[in-house]
Amino acid sequence: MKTVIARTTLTALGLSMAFLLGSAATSALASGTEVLHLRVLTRVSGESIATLQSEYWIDESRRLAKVIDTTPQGATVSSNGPDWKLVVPAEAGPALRFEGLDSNSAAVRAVAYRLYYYRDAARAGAATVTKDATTYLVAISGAFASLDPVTELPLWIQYGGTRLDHVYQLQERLPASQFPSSFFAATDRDTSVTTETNLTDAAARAHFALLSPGASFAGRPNVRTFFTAGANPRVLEQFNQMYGEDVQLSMSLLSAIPTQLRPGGTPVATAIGPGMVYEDSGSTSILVFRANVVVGAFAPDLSTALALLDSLRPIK
Amino acid sequence: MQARFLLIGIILAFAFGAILGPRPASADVNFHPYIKPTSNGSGANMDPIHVLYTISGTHSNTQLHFLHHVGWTDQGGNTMYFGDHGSWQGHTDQRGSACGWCIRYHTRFNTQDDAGPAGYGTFTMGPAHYEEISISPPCGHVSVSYNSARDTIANSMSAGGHFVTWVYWGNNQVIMQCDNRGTVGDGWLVRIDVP
Repeated sequence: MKTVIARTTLTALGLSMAFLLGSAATSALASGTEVLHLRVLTRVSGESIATLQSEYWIDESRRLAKVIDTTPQGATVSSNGPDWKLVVPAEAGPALRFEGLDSNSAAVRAVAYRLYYYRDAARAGAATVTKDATTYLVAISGAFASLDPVTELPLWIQYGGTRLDHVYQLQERLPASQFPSSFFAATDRDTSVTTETNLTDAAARAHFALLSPGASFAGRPNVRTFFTAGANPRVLEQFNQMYGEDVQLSMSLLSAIPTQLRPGGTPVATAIGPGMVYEDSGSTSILVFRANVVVGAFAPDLSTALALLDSLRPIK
Repeated sequence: MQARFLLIGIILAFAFGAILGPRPASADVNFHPYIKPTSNGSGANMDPIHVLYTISGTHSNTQLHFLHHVGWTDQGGNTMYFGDHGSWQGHTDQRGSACGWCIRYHTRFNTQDDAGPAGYGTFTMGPAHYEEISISPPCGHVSVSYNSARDTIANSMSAGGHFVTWVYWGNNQVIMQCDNRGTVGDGWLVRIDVP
């Protein structure tokens, strides 16, 4: 199941949900699965320019969430960035961000802003904790956070000489019944989706020949695979496989055959057809075009890049 | 005798001058397709260079038209290095859509008044990204998107009357960020003609 979230729909739904949530607040502590609904104002102490407002809907049992971020000017930030959803573990562990996939997939992506990062670090013993009835301070990696002793949500975070205050304008727990099950399932919304997934799932949606799942190259495991679709009008689908930051393979299905290519390449024969090689002071790129499909191999040297293309084989 | 040594000296001076003296910029686009965090070009690739200001893309022309149509100003940012013909130098300018601590678009420029191949003229490189501040974990800027920043610039410049051309460059490697996310561009470079 592909799950996407669109900003415009979120806005409209957010308004309708706000009405629903208002009436549901009195029954917020009903038994069973609940939804944590937060509206958070994050601002830099002494400044107003960096004030951000975020709204979270978190269903910890289903591990789904919705987040809307707005700038001080009121613009919805998600209109400029990818749409995404958040998975917040019920227990210790990093929150993860998923884009365009259902939460049961193998997609893994850490969120830039982890709502429970400091709580999880404290529980995992990875931070210095000072805690009593009224104080809950967590120090890690040069940052300090003061958490609410009850909810363990950050009240403020001090980092890099700047303190960020979190003002919880709304904090309530709601019955899951107030949280439409169709919310994350809709697929009919126009959206920009960037997805990281495992290779098997990616291959099922691919139009390319791919390395086999679990493959390794020259002793390097396929550490991460990215799949991007619908991100812009020029690329319909794109895969990236990493065998480390310096050895990567990409496959792109372009919306049209390019009329202009990067100049300066030198023709080279590869296992999958003729390509162009580009030497870039310390790294080598090979691009192989077949109509509107382009395969790119990136490696420290030409022989490694050629070997990477040699290893390419289709998945059934 | 002294005149003979003087003559030899002059000849040697011309010879070494021809070898070691300044050379005209090559008429090509032999720049590294990513910026780097260090002045010697070591370290991981960072932003893909996916915007070129071409034709009359000198430093002054590029800044003039960018400020007029896109409007971002210098809001600060780390120094990053551009590789050109094997040598590396820091950015000459940077522009951001909001403050350094804010979620924002951010672009750097490197202007060496390079002469490109036929049709490129003099060009300036201008990689861009859309970034957030990661405080959880606390590790600073993270580039969330390369494509959206490039497209925002291209759309603004195009709306302002600048001719844009899309070139497939193939610099679509995954770039790992400090919060362990990977950000990837689509490999397309936009040429924005500057009069």
